[in-house]
This record gives sequence, structure tokens and C-alpha cells, in this order.
Amino acid sequence: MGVERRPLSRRSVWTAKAGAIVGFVLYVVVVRWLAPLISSAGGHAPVGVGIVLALVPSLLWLALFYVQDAQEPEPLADVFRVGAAGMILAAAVAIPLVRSVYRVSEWLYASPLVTLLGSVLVVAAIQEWCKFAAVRYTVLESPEFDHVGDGVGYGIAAGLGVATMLNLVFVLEGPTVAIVPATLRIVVTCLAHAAFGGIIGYFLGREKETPRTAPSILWGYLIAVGLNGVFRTTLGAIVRTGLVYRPWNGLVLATVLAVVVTVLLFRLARPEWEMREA
Amino acid sequence: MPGRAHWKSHDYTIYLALVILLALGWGVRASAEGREKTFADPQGTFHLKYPARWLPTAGAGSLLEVEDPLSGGLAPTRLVVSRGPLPTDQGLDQIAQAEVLARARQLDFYRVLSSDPKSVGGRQAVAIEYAFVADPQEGVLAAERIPVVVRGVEVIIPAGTVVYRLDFRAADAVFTSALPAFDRILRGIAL
Repeated sequence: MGVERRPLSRRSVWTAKAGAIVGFVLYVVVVRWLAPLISSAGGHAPVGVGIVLALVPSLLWLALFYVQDAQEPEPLADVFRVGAAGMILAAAVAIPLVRSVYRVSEWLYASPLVTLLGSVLVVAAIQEWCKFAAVRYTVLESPEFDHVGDGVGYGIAAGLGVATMLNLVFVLEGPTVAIVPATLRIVVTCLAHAAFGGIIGYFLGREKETPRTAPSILWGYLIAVGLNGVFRTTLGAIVRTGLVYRPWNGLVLATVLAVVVTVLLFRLARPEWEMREA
Repeated sequence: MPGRAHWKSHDYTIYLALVILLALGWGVRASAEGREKTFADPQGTFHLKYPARWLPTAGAGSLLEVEDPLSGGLAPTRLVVSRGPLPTDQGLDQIAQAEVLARARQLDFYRVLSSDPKSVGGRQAVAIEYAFVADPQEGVLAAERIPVVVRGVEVIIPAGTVVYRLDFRAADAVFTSALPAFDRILRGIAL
């Protein structure tokens, strides 16, 4: 007899998300504190350390998700599948399109307007499609996926999958890794992409739960694309001003984004949640 | 619960949106890559256009010195434009020869690869393709202190009472891919 698979608990999604935001910020603080022990005099460490740094946030979220809902069997395999699909799509589609086809690094910073337009129309459009596809082609048609909260959870998993692959590529690019700046970048990427993925997942969940009254998934995709592009542009402007590099500003921005999106989605999903429990 | 056909209709919508966004993004890319800046000699009629993303660097004795920030390393892709008085007792070939001798004294393992006449901005000019070995002592990482073969093209253009020198150089590994940018610059020169 196999384990009965149940839908994602709506509470576990929100609790894991809130815990992850706090956990990610604490993770940066811990790494900052441990940096002198695990890096050389210049604050650099081998690539292997960077790989671990890149994987920790996603594993942390998975652990929080699992521990939070230990009393009910959870389709952790489904969450893992969606995350893995996000990683594969990021590696096979997003990164090659952005780097090799559009060669974004050669023109994106020509002017602030070009940076914004390129970030929205190219980078964000491709990344958000990867998250949509990661949920769409794995668990969307599963009968266990029938709540808005399920969609948000799977969307976050897809977002973290994409973020993890982006972070792995980042740390593998150089011979060494600057511990603290790399960790900040990794956490900012995870917080942001989890938020965008949650938006797409919310709209997918609404469509699943109430197909007749739900707003089109297209809105979710376009909102996520717009938010991703604007976030990228703003992040670039506040992290680097002239020759001054302020990576902690990025963490503040990403944390605010994650909190605002989480609260908003929670409030939007709550009426359906309370109706079901009544 | 929605069926497969229901989801397919949403798939088409998302794919269509993606295609439209990427098409618009391609247009932004084409527009951005074609952006150029114009440099004009304040004491003459010489002007040229170069890629907008190339950044000025500090250069002594030159009218213009710009680098491609994406080329990186300690032998970045670079264009230097300088002006000097035109020697009245020398022809173009002699001016080019003097330039070669001066470079050979300044640059390690300087070699002339070719020297050909060229028409630039309607004027008779000469293009000297060369190579030398750059020794970047100031690199921070060990990998950056390895000597690098640099290739370049120096174009000498007499114009009235002055002679313009355009020196374009790049690391040997990227020279061939960088050369089209210099060719575009040459085609846009006006005197």
C-alpha cells in the first residue's frame, strides 16, 4: 500500500514562505560571521564552497516546508519535481537564450531605458516562462493540485529552482568565490524568484480552483514579468552607484519584495481558504 | 476540474505573449547595439563614430582614447586617436615607416604583419597591421600577469596640414571578432 498523497497544506506554504524569508536573511548574517573561518585573507573561497552556498537557500526552504507540515504526508516529491524542472529549464532555455542568443551583456546597459526594456522584454519574459512551464508540465493537471495555496507552493518551488540554477552558474564562473557578496547575491536571487514564482503559482492555483471566475493566467505571467524586470533594473541601480558597490542594499530590496508579495498573495488566497474551511 | 483542452488554450496565450515580448526585446537589442557616439576634433573637421558602450580612458597626448569595457583583462580592446603636424618633406610611405620604427622602440616583439594603402573619408591613407607582446606587470591575479600577444591596426591619414593616427588594438584571441567594429568606425570617418 503506497502513501496517500495529499495536496499541499495551505498553512505550510505560507509558514514555510515566511520562515524562508527570515531564514534567508539569517543565512546571510551567519555566512558573514563565518566568512573569516571559511575564506582566505581576501574573503575568497574555493568554488566548492560557492556551490554549497548556492544550494543552501533552496534546501532550507524545502526543509522548512517539510518540517512545518510533518503531521500530514506532503507531496514533497512533487515539489522537488517542480524545482528540478525549474532548474532544468533555466539551464536549457533561460541561460542560453539570454547569454548566447540575445547576448544581453553586450547591450543591456547602453542606457537606463534599454536596461529596463531589455530586463522586462527579454530576461524576465524568459525566466517567468520557465517557472510557468516548470509547474505546467509537471503537476498542473494532477488532481492533487486543487487549491490556490498549492499553486503558490509549486510556484515558489519553480522560482527557487530557476534561482538555484542561476546561482550555480554564477559561482561556477570564476576560479574562486567572494563569500559575503556571493551569498548576498544568492539570497537576493532566491528571494526575488520565489516571489515571482509565487505570483505565477497563485494565478495557476486560482485557475485550477475556480476556472470560471479566475483571472487569466496571462495576467499572472505579465505581472511577474513586469515585476521581475523592474526589480532587476532597480536592483542594479541601488547596488552599484558609480564605482561604489553596496550589495546589502539588494538584500533589503529583495526582502521587502518578498514580504510584500507574500502578504499580498496570502490576503488574496485567504477568502478561498476560509470558504473551504467553513 | 479543467481538462487538458482548457489548459492548452492558456498555453497558447502564454506562448503568444512570450513570442511578442521576445520580438520586442529583439528590437530593443537591435536599437541598442547600433547606438554610437560621435567624436569631433575641436581643431579640425575630423569626426568619427564609435560604439556608445565604449568608455573613455585617460590618455596623454591623444584626442580620443576609448575602451570596450566588455573585452576585459589587461589588454582590452582599445581605440586611440591622435593628431600631429604633417611633415612637409615626407610622403605617406615615409611617415608610415617612421611610425613603424617608433613603435618598434616602444613595444616588445613588435612585428609588422602588413602595410596596405587604404581610402578613409575620401583621403589616401595607409593601414599597418601589427602585433606585439604586452607584459602586464600590474595584474592582481597570477593569470593576469601572463604576457599577452596583442594585435592592432594603425591607420595613418594625412589631412591638410595635419596627420591623424588611429590605433586600434585587441588581444590576439579576440582581434578577429573585434575587427569588424573598427571597420565600421573607419567607414564612418569624415574629414
